[in-house]
Amino acid sequence: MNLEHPTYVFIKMTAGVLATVGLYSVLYRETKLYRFFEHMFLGLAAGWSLTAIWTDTLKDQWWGQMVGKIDEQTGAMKEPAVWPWAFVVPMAFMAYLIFSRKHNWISRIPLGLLIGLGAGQTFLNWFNLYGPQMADSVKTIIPTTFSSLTVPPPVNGQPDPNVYLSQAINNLIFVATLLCVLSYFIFCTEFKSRFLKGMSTAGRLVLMVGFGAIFGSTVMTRFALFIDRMYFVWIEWLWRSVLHLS
Amino acid sequence: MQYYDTGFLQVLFVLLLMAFILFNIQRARGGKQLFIRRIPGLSAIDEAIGRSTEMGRPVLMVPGLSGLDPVGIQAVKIFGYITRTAARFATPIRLLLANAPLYSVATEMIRDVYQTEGVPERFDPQSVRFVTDRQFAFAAGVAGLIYRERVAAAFLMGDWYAESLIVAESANAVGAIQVAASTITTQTPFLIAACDYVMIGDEFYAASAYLSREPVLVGSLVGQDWAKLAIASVIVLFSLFGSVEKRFVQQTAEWVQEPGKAGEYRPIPARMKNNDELTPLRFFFPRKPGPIDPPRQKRETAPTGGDS
Amino acid sequence: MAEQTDAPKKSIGEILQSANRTFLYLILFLVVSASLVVTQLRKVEVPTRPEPYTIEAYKILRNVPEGGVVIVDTGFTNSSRGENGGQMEALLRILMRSGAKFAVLSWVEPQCIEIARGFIRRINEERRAAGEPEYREWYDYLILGFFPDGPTMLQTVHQNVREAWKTRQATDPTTGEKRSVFESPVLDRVQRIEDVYAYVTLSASGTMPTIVARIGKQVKVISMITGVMFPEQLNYFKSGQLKGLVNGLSGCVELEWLMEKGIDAQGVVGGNAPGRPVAAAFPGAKNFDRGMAYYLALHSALTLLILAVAVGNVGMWLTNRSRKR
Repeated sequence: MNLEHPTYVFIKMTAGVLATVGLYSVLYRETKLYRFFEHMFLGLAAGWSLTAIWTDTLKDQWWGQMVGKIDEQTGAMKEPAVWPWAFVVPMAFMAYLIFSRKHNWISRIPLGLLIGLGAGQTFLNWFNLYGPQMADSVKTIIPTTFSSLTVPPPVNGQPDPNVYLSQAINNLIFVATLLCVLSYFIFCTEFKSRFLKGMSTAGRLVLMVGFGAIFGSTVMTRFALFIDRMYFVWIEWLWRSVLHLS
Repeated sequence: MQYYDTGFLQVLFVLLLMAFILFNIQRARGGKQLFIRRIPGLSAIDEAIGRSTEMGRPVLMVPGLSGLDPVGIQAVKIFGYITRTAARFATPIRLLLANAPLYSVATEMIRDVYQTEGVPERFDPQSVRFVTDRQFAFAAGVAGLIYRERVAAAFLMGDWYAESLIVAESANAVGAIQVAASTITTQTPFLIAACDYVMIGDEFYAASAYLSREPVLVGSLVGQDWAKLAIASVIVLFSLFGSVEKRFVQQTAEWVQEPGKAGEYRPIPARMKNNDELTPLRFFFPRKPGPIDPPRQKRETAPTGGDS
Repeated sequence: MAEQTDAPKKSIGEILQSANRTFLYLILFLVVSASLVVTQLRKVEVPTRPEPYTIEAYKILRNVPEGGVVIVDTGFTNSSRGENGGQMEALLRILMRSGAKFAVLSWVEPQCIEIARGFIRRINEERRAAGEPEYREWYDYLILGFFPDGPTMLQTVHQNVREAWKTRQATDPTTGEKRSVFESPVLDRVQRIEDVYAYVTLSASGTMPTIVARIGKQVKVISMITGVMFPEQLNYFKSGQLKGLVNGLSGCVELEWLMEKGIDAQGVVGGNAPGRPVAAAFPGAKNFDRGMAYYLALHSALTLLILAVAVGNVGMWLTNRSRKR
């Protein structure tokens, strides 16, 4: 079947448009139309997952490796079979013993292996990930010169190593903000002193300002998803496929 | 300074943070009552369950896309607490999951809650459901259930991603009281906008430790607090030390490292230090001696280009 | 009817705060649809000013030497096509016009590979229509496929890239047989991950830290993400762990803008300073596409949002004021 045939592409797109309209109908209210597309979506997702697990994971990366490959013309072994892959089968089935009330402890073995693998990598990479960000948080808070309040334009394109007053104040605000926010996330003690309480409250306020800024930025994504669906319905389907306009 | 530049301090620092956690877990296991302050959001949990009971509508619990990992397990622990209260008042519950292994663990945990409360007959196996592991299909399924059953309270706790607003907005539309907690920073603003109460970041871990009082959770939470204090101290001390060094100490030698050779300091006329030359910063970026750019094995057929 | 007459009369403040949800959705639907149609009819180009992180990303991508290898780590599905789709198209155009070779992999979701194939096919059709040579699989680009355990794969790439991808095969069109990807002209010179010019990740989720923690010191990592993930990833750019960052739909438009205008020898976007440009433009080529097609609609939707927030807040202020009285 030629999946690129124009008729097939058109049917596929029309189905996509119907599904889009069906799912968006929930914005009016939950109707049978929405319920139909919701269940279709769930069914497709379940079917897709099953197929994807076999074709993209198990077939090539486990079965193919385990049984090897034979040259159909000569009958010779083209790729050797790696039989130890068979050992992962009982290991995988151990995970299913989670459903047994008596033997569910066995399921912890493969799970433990996976968690151990993840934890080992985390220990290895923790500093690689957070070290540079901690380094970026170490700021010079004492000005080295008072010749100018703000950073003057670079001379001959050379970076100026000096710390100017405005930079020092910025850096101080950064470090203070960091400490306030960290203090908000300390749970092992109740802050009694007014200073520490104030720090924690300031931390919460700063967090809220930050979340507001994040909200503003991330709202773009929500709109982009909607705009993309509308583009699909109006331009890709109606404009180009139905009306054949350029 | 040679030892400083080998990077061993980084390893020590990570080991120290680990030691904090292990030490506190051990303390908690040994019977020491470690203090955790009460999170304000916890009061909202009881209020929401009370409202569901009054209205006779279900309590919805969703751990987002959490898998069988610390976040997922801690979410289910909080749901265990919610279910305990709901079981006492015979309030119906709905726990919807997107991860099959977590689903099986959650089913067991919820069944246990009903049994320990002495009302095993109130446990409805249909109340814990695996929806799908596809993100937006999951969101559509959860939204559908919210509209159909008109839940009175929704607890959204765990790893939330782009589906967060779809679910939170649906629950908002049916007038449900919502309590959310997520460690995903970028989703927290949406939850704040759409929910009645939100536990931010680590408050989620604190809530599960506070409610369960399990030594591992309590100990690791206190250990993490110590780690946060250690990191804050490092940043403050290094900032002060670096500032003083930049102001008063001049650079008199420059680090030179030629390809394939060990690096060395060579004298230069005294000048102000650049930020990356400050001693505290070398804790993060040590200059390891030894060849950093060994000769590459090139194939004979290698054409031009492919700069790296 | 009795209910209507008995219901307490709402104040203006309360009315402003309780706008009908369905009505708001309807206005959004109309405004976005109209903006898309207007853009399509009038070919509207909304001006933009590229951010420093997008400029850095463009500088790297535009200067990939001919034959240089770029790894494209795709982690998005059609659900974030509105942002990642335009980014992918811009990336493919830059790489193909520069003569770079690229290899596509995914460890987020098997579907991502099929979606990436669709984009490559689309850009190839565009090149064919413009009389440019098509990009051929095996010779110019490779599909490495889906990796179910990305973190472990990347850990192995950090130590030995050839070990990490040793089981991966692709069809050699000359013989029709499947051969190791390292025999293809795309990867035959890659012995270590340092031999790769750049590693570009396109994602709708937080996959980037996994990459940066493992191979960030060995290869230039560029992240193309959705607006949701951007605030978290900006820290990684500031700390130098990311060499370039493209922020959602606005980042996509900035990339298209840079492709159209270029960066001159003085580092000015759209400037004409004499000398070798820092990152040249692609004059006369199709640079504005999906990003610019959505940009007017985005502005309209954001204006609507600001208006709704303002109306709601005025309503709240009026209600609070009347309560105080």
